Amino acid sequence: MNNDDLLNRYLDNELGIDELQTIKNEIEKDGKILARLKALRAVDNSLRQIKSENAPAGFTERVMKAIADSSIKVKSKVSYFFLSMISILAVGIISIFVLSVRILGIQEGGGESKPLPQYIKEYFGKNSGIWESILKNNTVMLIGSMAALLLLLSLYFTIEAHKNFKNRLNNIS
Amino acid sequence: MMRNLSDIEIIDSINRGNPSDYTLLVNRYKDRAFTLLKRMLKNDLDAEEALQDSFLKAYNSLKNFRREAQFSTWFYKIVYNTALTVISSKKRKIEVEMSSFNEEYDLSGYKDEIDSSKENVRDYILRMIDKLPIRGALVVILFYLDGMSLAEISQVMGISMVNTKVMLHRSRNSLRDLLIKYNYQEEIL
Repeated sequence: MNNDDLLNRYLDNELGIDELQTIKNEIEKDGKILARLKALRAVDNSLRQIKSENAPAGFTERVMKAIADSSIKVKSKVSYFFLSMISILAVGIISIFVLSVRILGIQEGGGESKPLPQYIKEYFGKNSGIWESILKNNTVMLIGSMAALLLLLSLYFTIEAHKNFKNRLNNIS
Repeated sequence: MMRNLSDIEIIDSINRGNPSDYTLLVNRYKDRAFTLLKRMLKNDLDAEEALQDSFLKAYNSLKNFRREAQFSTWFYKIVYNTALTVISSKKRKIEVEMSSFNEEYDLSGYKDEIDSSKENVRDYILRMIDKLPIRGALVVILFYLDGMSLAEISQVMGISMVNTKVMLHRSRNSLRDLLIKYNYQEEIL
């Protein structure tokens, strides 16, 4: 442990009795150490005079306005997000509805009244040959695979975009 | 009455739905944080921008504030990190690496003496804080201006307490060496 460290710790009242004795002995032996202690104390006295500078005028008002503005932005972003989700849900519901009407239309055309699940089962049973030929077609399989890939990619990017959006909400600056 | 509330009481009030109470925290910390940022960024405009950024970040994260630490420690950590981001985004990284984070505490190369009859030794010392490495100056300000303990400063800066203490000692020593060099110490005591 060097003298500079001891002097600093002396200044901060961190020295034990033994160390105090050591520094006292050092000062008696070498006058330069006393000069360094005096200078260190002078620095300490000066540093205790540090005053803070004033933040620019109107700063608090600007911060509070920025907070108010950012909370409005957050609200609008959130509502936009929910609007998109609701739209997707609505499209899904409409699609199911249209499909049901179409199936029921076919069903009515057939003149028989059956429960929907039973009809679907029969429909796919009757047309199994058609479905088989479609599924065995390479072009259809290729297009289907590409569509599935695109769907998965878009799902991935949607999830990522949502994650980023949530992060931005948490770190609005 | 409101002005005597503790930081925690103000935060509780904000979380209860009184966002305007945040003005109390802003007014309480803006000057000291601005002083800190000016020392780090060496520029009034950047300091003000970073200060506003820090207060916004703190506001948006108030719900995440753990009461284990003091608000001041938590807030200054945000201020410090914001300043570091500004420094890197302003492409001052090279300058900082070369001049400040190299921990060069030897100020003997500076030939600045007291530059006018109006300037006293104390002002001179305070001016020379700017010549210290950024982190050294930061430790000095947090210790002397904000009255933070070494443990709190080490939390703000994300360094060990031993390193914090070493930085404080080195900063004082280099300022002391300047006083000895120009024989100013007698004037100040």
